[in-house]
Amino acid sequence: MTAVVPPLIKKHHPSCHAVSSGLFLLVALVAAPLIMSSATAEYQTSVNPAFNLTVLVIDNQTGADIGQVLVYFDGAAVGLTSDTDGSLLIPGVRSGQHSVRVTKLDFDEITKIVDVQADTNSTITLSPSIVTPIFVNGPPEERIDVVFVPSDTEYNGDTDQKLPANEYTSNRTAFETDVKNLIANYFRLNTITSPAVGLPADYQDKFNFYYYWDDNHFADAFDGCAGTLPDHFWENAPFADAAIIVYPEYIGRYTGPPSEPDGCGMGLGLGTHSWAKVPGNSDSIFLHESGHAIWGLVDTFCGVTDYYTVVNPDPNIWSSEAACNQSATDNNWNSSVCRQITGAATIPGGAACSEPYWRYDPEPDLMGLGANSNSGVFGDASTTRIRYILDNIGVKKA
Amino acid sequence: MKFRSFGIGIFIVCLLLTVQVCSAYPTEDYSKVLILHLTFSNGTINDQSVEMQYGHPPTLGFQSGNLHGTLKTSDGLVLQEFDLSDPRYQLSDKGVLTYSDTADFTIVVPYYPGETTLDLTDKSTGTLLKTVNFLDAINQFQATYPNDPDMVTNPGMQSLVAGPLPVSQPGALGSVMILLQATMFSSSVFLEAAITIWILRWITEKRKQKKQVVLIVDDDPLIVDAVGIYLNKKGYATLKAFSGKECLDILKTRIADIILLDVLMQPMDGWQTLEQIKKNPVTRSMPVLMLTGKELTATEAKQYNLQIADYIMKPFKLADIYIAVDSILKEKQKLMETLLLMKQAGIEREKFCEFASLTRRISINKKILEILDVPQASLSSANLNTLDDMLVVDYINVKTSINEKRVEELQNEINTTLKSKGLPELFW
Repeated sequence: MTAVVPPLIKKHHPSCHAVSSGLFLLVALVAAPLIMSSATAEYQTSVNPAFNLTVLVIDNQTGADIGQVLVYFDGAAVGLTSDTDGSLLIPGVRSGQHSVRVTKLDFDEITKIVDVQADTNSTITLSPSIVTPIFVNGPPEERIDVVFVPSDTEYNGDTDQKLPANEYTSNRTAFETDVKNLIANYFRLNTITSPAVGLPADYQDKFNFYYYWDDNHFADAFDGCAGTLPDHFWENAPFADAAIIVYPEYIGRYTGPPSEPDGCGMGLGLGTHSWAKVPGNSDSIFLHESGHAIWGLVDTFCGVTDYYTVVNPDPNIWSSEAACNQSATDNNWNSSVCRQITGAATIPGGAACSEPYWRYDPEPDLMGLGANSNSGVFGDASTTRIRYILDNIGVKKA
Repeated sequence: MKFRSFGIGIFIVCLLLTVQVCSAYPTEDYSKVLILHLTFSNGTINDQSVEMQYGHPPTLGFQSGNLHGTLKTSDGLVLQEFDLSDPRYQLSDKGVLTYSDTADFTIVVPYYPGETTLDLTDKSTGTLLKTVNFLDAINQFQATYPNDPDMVTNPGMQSLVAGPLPVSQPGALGSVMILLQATMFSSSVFLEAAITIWILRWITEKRKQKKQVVLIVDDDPLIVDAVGIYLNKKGYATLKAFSGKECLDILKTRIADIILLDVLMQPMDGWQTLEQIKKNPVTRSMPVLMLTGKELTATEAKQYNLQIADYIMKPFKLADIYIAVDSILKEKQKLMETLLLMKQAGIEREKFCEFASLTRRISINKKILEILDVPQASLSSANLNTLDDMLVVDYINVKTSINEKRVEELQNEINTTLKSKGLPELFW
């Protein structure tokens, strides 16, 4: 006798019918790819199916959707997010982990790793850029890119004390104002350089100025001579040709070592790891420090333990009188002006010196005694070096 | 005269609008830098970490200093040289030089395809202080961004960019807008506004639809772009590759519903690429439509006829591409739907798959015979050079006849079952 096995699902029960249909569809969906992958079938569904990945970009501060965000999938650009809802559909995505990089002007770009195992929605939050453009004229490759960075410290020269400072950290506008004043003053460069040499008429267009603002990380202007930049500065501003740490104020007067100086720099000439610190209220110190950090100019006075070197081409000091005279002749200057860096101490803590270097530019030279006065200027030699940089930026580049 | 002035005015307005539209789109940016965190200690340099990221490099070549940097490829080719200031020294405006035996410092250098190392030497002595190797950082970057144009095997090729998505990709949308505005030069501003609204609605509507993805592989960028724009307009998403290698690279991360594959490419031709696609279990099910200006030889026909979904000769009309793509994808869809129906009718899946496979094979073989300029079942007008070629054609003809008979049998069996269940007969 054969046992009759009752059906597991009663076909005519409505709810069972629904379950049955659902199961059938499920089985069909699962089976279809298997059928298609049989050796004889020409039309095989992929073993690794494709999915839709929808990227939604929102503003970290407002939560609003952001349109026109350029989206890169696994490194290749695939499109812009919609103005309507800040999303972009990426079809045909294989299962697995993928990178989604999103970029938009004025926002920090972000890369998110997305695991796609089905049709997936991925929300990416963009924050306003840490680097804010102030005065941008062209691509970084073709401009001198200067990034100003606020310091959360300042200094009292009378008491030789480093002090915490919140003038900038608690007031972004105050920092912006000081930076804009420094820039405005800098753009009188054509009036404080040698008219005989002259600057390109469009010299202002050779600069891009930005400022750096990270609520959680500020520079420390008085950690070491030139100060220290915020953590991750170079990751956030890799293009910076010169970083300028700005601190609110140098209180009192510099009295020589061990007192910390009001200005100091790392690096001679623009490029990687070049930065300087300056007070936000001193145009002349910014001009002097930029002489080092941007133009590669060397001090022309007797310092305490100063550093001299010949920066070619178009140096502002030479290692012999003959070399200085030759430059003067080549540039139609007055060769009798060449003189050795020598003389009495000119700054607190300094001493008389006689260095094996020769200079040309007259006082008040911004790289000499004019560094600490409002009347300092760049002479023929310094201006020629400045001119060389301005003429070659964007031509001789990375 | 007034009409002419009005026309010129409209032209200028439209031109300005066009410029605005074009310049409003962000441009793709693949600039990369390497960020080196280093320590100078007791006369030696040690690397703490090397990271690669997107970004623009600083300007190198203007700085003075006692360090000299040389960016090199793995075979020693010098890519760039520059001087660097010694990070152990800092100089104050008071003429105070500070020196520290140990200094942490960070330098940023540009990434060039092929770049592998940075040599840092002491300029005064010529001593090599450190060779910083970038390979780990580059490999890590490549793993995260495998489709970056500089990360493909042939560095420096401007390709491997996923194709324009009609909805929002700047190139495609920009092209549409430019074409649109070009037509508006002779029209009014009102018409422009109306058409723009229509286009935006069309874009919004299209966004809601799931797009099928076509991978276009051709070493001629003009063809890739033209076919891409055309298919985008027809509602497909496109991916682009300009060589067989790039095609295979794209398929490592993306799935295409169909591949348009050019035959004549270097160094890997279309047939070699096809072999790789069909070898890979993940990609072998993707239909491949061969696209070439070279005539199909009988040998190629025999070797590859089982692997291609269709074959289009150059020069072709863009409409031909669309018809072929549409036909293949519709047939694929029809197959999926019919499979479910067969299952419901209790028809063995193997039987139906054999039927579908052979039907398709017959269709392709007939097309191949047409391309070979040989009427079916006739060798009399063969435009073939050798006896081998003729034998191939003969072989395809015989196989086609056998297949046709088998298809007839299968169709009868399937239809008998369908009839018995009161279902409509299968027409394929």
